[in-house]
Amino acid sequence: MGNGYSVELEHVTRIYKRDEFEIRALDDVTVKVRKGHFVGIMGPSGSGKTTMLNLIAGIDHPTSGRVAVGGEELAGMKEAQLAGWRARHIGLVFQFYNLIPVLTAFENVELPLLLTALRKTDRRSHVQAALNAVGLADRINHYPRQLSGGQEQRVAIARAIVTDPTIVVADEPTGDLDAQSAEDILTLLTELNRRFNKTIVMVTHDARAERYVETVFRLDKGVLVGVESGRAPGVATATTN
Amino acid sequence: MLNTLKLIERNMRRNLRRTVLTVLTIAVATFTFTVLISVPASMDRLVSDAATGLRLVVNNKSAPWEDLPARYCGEIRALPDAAACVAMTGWVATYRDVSDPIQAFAVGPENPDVFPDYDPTGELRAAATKDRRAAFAGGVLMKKEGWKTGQLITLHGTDAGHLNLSFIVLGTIKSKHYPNAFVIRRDYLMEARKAAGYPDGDIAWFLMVRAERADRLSALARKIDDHFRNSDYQTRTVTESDALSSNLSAVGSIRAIIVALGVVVIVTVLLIAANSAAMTVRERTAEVAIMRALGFDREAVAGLLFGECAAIGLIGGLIGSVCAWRLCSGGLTLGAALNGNGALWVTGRQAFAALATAVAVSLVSGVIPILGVVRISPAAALRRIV
Repeated sequence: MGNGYSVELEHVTRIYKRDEFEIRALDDVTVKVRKGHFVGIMGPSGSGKTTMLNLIAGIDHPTSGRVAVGGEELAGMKEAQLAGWRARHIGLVFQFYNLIPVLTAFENVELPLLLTALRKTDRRSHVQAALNAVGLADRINHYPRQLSGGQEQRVAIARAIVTDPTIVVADEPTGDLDAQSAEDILTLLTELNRRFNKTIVMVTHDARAERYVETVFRLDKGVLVGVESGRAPGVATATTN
Repeated sequence: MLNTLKLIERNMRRNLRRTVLTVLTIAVATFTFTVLISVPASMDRLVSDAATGLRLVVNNKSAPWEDLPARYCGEIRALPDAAACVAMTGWVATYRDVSDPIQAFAVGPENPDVFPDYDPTGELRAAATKDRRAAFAGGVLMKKEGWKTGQLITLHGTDAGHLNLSFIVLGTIKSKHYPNAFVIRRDYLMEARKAAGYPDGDIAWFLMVRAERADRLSALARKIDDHFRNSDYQTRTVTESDALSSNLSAVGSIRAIIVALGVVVIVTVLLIAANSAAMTVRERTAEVAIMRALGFDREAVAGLLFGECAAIGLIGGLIGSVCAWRLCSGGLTLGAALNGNGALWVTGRQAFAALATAVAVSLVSGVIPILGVVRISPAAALRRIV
């Protein structure tokens, strides 16, 4: 990342085909996010937020344009390469937590570490550190059904950071939470950003999120329509069409 | 700590009822399949055991079910290359269960000369002289009927005269070649038949001859038939293994029936397991998407799902094959079938083959649903969740 950007999307377009229809989920979008910044992607439903997030996370491929994350170009990577790359560089947080119900909190957080070469003792210390960071050290043997929504999302965040990824991508992390829990999660993400200098890209509908992020990228109908400062002025640059 | 096996084990417990039912289905099917595949193997074993012997079977040339004079044995013994001969007269009777007949054979004291492995120590021959009611049974028959050495038993004849005869079980025929045999004294049966007014004289169903050398078997068979060519009862002499093969073929295309039944069992359990696998995979589409998104590649996710299929097949297969092996490894009598030679054996090899089949079927059952779900791209799969 010689140029200081964690995420670079240049003239990215993503088109989906649904039967005979073409859906332009993203249309010639250019976005850059500096290392260590906490940014939000906002917009109405169907504006392309999750599509952009998926492209950044390497879960999807653009129809055209350039996507680089952590200095690595994703376009040329095959499916298997992308999977390995995601395991090393991306931490994912979903709206509905998506924890494995048959695994404890500890085991859910440990899951991504199975893809590493870490020994058992090292895995244990990583997991404990991640759970400590999210304030759930006393819930390690609980199953998801035994946790509240906020606690489940904390476990999900711990799972996202346990591999020390380059970037954390969060898709509506507060979407299924009550107001207090949502505030707690946003505070936690901010803390992770500040304490560990983690780059965080968050898709959100939540208007409260603007107080926590440094930059807001606004999408509408797949087009980047605005770049605004959040709680603090950022040095992110963007281009609108 | 988490590992692949623990993950598989946890996922199997996710819907415990479905897992247990699938395992039990595979167990029952494996049990059935193990017993089925042992039938042709047991038949082959009977024939191959007989092929190693030096024995010939002498039948009435007109038809195998016609009798022969027992005195023919004396003439046969005088032929060159003939070591011994015994007249075998059969008697079908029941013990406790009228639907489960026992095929008894009445023989003379020369019987161990023809069947040396019946009585290698000579103890049975010695015991037979003590009481006319002496009887000896194969190990499988002893176990099945619960007889003990020295026990007095009464058998009820199924022939027209309904002879009821008492016997003292004086010993077990230890050789595994005669698991179902029930051997009685010839003189005892003949006297009983005479007393009951049976019109026939000293007849035999067939004669068993032991040759002196294996390379003289065919020549001796020809000599015997030539010797009796101009007699009242012409003979047809074949090797013991040929006679058994002929008996087995007389029960019809049992192999084809067994194979067909085996295929039906396999296909049925495959369909049931496939349905179970499809339901399981459908419920886990979201998790598959999450794991793909976290960085597990297609092969890793497929490996986990196939691991579950293999585990279910292994557990069910083990239960079924071990139960079949435990039940049948000591031999199961087939009653009077095949002149009482019939016994079913399940060997460790057959049980292992059935187990391997169960695992293979379980894996195959998962192919379509698993390959279908891992083919979905993570983005498409995540869209389905949201």
